[in-house]
Amino acid sequence: MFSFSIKTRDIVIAALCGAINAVLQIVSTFFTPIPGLSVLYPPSGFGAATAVWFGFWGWVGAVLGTLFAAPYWGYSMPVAVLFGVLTPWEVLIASLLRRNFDPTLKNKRSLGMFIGLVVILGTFLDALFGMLVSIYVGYYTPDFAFTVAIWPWWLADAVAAFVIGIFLLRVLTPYVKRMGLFYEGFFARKIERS
Amino acid sequence: MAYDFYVARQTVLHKLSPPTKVVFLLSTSLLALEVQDPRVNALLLVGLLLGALSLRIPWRVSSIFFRSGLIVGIALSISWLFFSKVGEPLYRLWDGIYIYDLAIPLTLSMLFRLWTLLTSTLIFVAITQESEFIAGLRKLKVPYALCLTFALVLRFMPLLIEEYNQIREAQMARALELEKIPLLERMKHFMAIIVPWLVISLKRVSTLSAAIDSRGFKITGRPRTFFHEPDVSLADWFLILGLVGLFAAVFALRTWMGYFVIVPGRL
Amino acid sequence: MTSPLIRVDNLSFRYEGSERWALSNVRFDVNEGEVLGIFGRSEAGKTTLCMCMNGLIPHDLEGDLQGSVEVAGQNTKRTEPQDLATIVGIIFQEPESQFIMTAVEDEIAFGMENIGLPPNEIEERLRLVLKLTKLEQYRRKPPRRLSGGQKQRVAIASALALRPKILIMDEPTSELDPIGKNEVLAIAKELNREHNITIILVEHETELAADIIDRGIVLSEGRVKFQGTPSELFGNVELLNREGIFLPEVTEVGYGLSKHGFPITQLPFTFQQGSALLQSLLTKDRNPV
Repeated sequence: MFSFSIKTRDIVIAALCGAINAVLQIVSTFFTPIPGLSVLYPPSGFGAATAVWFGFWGWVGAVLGTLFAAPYWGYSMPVAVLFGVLTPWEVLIASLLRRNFDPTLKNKRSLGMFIGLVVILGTFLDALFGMLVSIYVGYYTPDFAFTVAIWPWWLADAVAAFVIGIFLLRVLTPYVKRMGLFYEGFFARKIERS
Repeated sequence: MAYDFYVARQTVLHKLSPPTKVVFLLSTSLLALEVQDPRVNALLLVGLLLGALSLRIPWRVSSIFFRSGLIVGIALSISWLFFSKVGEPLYRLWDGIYIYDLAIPLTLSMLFRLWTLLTSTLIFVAITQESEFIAGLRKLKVPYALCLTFALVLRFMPLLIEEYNQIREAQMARALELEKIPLLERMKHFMAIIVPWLVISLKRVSTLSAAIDSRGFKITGRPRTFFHEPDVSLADWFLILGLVGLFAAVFALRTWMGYFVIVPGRL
Repeated sequence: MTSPLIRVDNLSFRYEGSERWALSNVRFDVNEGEVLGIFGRSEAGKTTLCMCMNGLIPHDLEGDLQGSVEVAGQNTKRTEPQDLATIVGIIFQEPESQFIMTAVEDEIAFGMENIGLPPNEIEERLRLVLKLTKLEQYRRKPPRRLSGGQKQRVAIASALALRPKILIMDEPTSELDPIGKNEVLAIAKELNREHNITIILVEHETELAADIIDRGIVLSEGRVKFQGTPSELFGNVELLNREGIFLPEVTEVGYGLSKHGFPITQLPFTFQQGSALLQSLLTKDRNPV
């Protein structure tokens, strides 16, 4: 019924989102009142916005961003792949649910969905899986992960998804559409019905 | 802020072929993850540190890894020393909080593991140019479309960092304060940098896609060649097989004979 | 009579979702070895026209395309831009947005790898285009560390490596300093004069463009308002003023002089012509230029 093939534009969008995401991860070290404790994690907000604009390719960008920002966060690259694939839940949820709400979040229903499912649930899952990966590779013990570490991780992601994600969607969505970059489908920019 | 880790030297490590470098990164990382014994992890770490020292990596590169290793190391140490209940209680800190006897070797082990992972990445990025990284992945049969995606990320990161810094300085010249202000204000001012930066970046998508297509790129349907085909010498093959063999041996010893393990059932 | 290398026949195009036609009934031919200048104010349709000539429209940018464009006998509606890459190359306005690789030689080799050339042929063509564009010493440098003019030369080299018959240059000098502008247009002139490459040049710097074009068209709101030789084009001062196209300074000077009663039958549009005109006027030459 629907068909698609990967186009050059898909690769370019994923790569640019990845590069932007990686730079934002590096920049987020500026929002650390205590070394190692970030209270704002801009890649969460940016990732959620790109997931709404570009679907699957926004999620790929989030994965790539984590891979290439690895040295700044103390991960080796192979470990970063685990974090990159398993943690950006707010981005994945935003990309899967994007067609159920207005991408500019101008009405209450859309805003409510975004806040409930992406900002709160998505970032919580991000933090949860972040802890699971950290436990798996030996960075944290389960007690430390689920009593201490999970909360600042969740807070930083949630604040960014709320502040930055909503702002970008409201301000830049019309611009993304005008540039012809907005994706109709999860994978494909244009849905070709056969 | 910069993203330029490669250190131009003519060392033995630099002369390894690209796929060997990628295998080196993967195998040393996986080895570190397999082993819990702090003595083995320490040995691996010392070996890698000697390798890193031989490269004479400038402080501007190694400081990034040093900083993240220190910060994550502190969190990791707190986690393993005070929040692990493995073995028998050794010291009582205060009511209900003990340091357990196995927590100390585990803390050391995980710390060495963390630093081993970071050092192997440091060595990898210091000896591998971007084009070599892509060539190495290609040689290991990663699909070219994915390799091109990685290449584009590496191509654009330095440019984006430059543009971010330019916009930041331009906004600061317009009296936009970014540092000595409350966090909420800092977030607002941050948007004054991010929005123009994103707009400039997104505008590139159409032109870049057009440029790539105009140079004949097809994802499928046309076989492509490669200008730089990395030579994998006999020495490279020995090293690759040696590293893979070492990983396999450690895996077998750990899985079937319980070597290198303090706490069974976890990495 | 040989058929034209590019035939644009009754071409109209509007972008998807737009009511406005970006191009309307555009019709012109370009012969092999010609340099065609395309002029017009912003949003006149110049870039859209360029992208129609190498297949980016309609394959990459969707919309309603009517009429036809044929390049070297290939209809661009039926041939993808990837397959037209060895016939028509394109240089964009912003150098940074068209680079893919982190070293000049890899950038130039990218296109040749895409079409499946063997490494030894890639090396041979690489040397040749580096020499043509005077970039030999920058072979291993990252493109982002070059000057604007050098970057555009890398873009030209990357397109040339595929040996196209046609090179489309869409405002290649707009982001460059004067030295960069001169470098890029000098290369374009050499490619045309020495190697017979057909050039489509979109350029706001009429002074520089005037020196190399064989013919010019003026686009306005997607329509061709004028087609002709440089002397016809730059002699039509009212049209150019109306369309917001800057006159070459020598043309302005000549026009001003003609308004003050000096006997000028043909306005100059190159420095040499302007210089000759002034000399003749100053020596009271009764055979005006």
